[in-house]
Amino acid sequence: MSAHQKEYERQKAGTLSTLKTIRAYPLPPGGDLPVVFRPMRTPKKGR
Amino acid sequence: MLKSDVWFATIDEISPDIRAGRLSSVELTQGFLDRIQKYNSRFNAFEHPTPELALEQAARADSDLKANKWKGPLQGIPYAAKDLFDTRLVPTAWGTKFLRDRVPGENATVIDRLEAQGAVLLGKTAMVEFAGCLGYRFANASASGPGRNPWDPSRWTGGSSSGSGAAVSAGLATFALGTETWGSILCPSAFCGLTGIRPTYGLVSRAGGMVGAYTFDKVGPLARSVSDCRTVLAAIAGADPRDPSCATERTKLDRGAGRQWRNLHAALVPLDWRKAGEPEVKAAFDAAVAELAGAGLRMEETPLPDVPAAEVSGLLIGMEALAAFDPFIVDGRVKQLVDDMAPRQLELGQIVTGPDTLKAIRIREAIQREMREFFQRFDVIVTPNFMSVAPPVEMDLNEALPYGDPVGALAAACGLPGLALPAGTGKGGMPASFQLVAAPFDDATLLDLGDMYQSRTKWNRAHPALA
Repeated sequence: MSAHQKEYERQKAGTLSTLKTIRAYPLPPGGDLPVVFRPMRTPKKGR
Repeated sequence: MLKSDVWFATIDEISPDIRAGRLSSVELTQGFLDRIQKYNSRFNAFEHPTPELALEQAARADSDLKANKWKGPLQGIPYAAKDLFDTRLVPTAWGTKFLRDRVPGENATVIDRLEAQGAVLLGKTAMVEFAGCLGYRFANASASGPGRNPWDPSRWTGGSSSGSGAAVSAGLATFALGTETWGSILCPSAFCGLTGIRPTYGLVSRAGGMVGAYTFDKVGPLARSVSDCRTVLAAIAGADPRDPSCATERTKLDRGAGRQWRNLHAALVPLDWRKAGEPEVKAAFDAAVAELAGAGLRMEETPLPDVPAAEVSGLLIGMEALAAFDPFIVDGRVKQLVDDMAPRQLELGQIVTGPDTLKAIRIREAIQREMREFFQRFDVIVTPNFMSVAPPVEMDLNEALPYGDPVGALAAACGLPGLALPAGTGKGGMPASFQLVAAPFDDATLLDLGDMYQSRTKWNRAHPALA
């Protein structure tokens, strides 16, 4: 295996390990709205 | 005639001389430009010096002073800025070769703010390509070559603000602006023997700066003292309509605005020095802790919350960077980066699903809550920046720095402010350093505590002897 591919495999293993941790982390359904979305007001002329 | 130590003087020392007319900014600026000419190739500090702009700004600083227009302590002070801040009509290449013709039409907010204070831009400093947000394993992942440490050019400056670290450390600028997504201000500060502050996320506008990771990037100074960091931070902090992530409430940064350090309760994180930790660096850190304890800081060894901060920060920075640099991935220019793994980051990123990313965002908030509880029991964290000194430039960084960065991971995830403080020397006389980390928007407490430490030690004034 080339050094490049070896490094790719190392990084891939790191990503898979990260995903294992993220996927196993217990969270309640729904959560506390960590993703905040705000509608953008449109400035209107003549108001 | 300029004093020979002016290249390593602080803003606090230079500013009164400029204000009183004992030192002209033009003379000082020309001296720095001459030093850049002489030393730059040795350290790869500047990607793009701006001599004409610098002399024009310096002349303006001098003439304003003659007209009794005092703009503050940064008036006439020469500084450098990482080459990811837009500068009007000056190339801004983000550490890459293929963006060397990118010439912005306007300044980043922080550049405008420093200009309004009369600071003098000497040039744009070298950096790791894309601030390392697509990953890098070697110090040479930069259009300018590896950042070479002024204390020993065979060793790395640290990254990604490599040139900012080299420039200040080598006495080629009085201070420099850097950015940090995860570690990029504290790392070069530590390896180059500088004082640097990573402000709370959102304290300083990123408008006109390269986006590496939208919800992680911070802007802060690398300088020679806590006091200088405070001066620069006060000049660049504050709400900005151009950056909606910027905090709108004002954060006081004046000396004494933090909580009284005598009443603080500091957390010491247990460390395993066996994996590549150097005994000299441990001794330097122990001495710093003894100094703080001797001054009356109450400290207690305590573990950090058991949360997956490294995984969450790593995954989200990776995903945000893939989105930020998408045009270069699509058009193939990512293949021109020095790091040969950068073109494969999309392939790696595609292992991560949308729900994985959104779950990581949710976990990030859970981590913030854990840290909020932690900072109700402790006011600051005291821990080394690194357990070893700057590695040789040619080393694989995974091998050179094999230990984890649990405090850095938490700081990245939660947007915590951090202050790097020089604390003696390690192997080969290279700088050793430690960091103070506090709760969001408690930057003033860090500065006050750091001020106290530097009033009792002089490690921040040590500088390399350049032939």
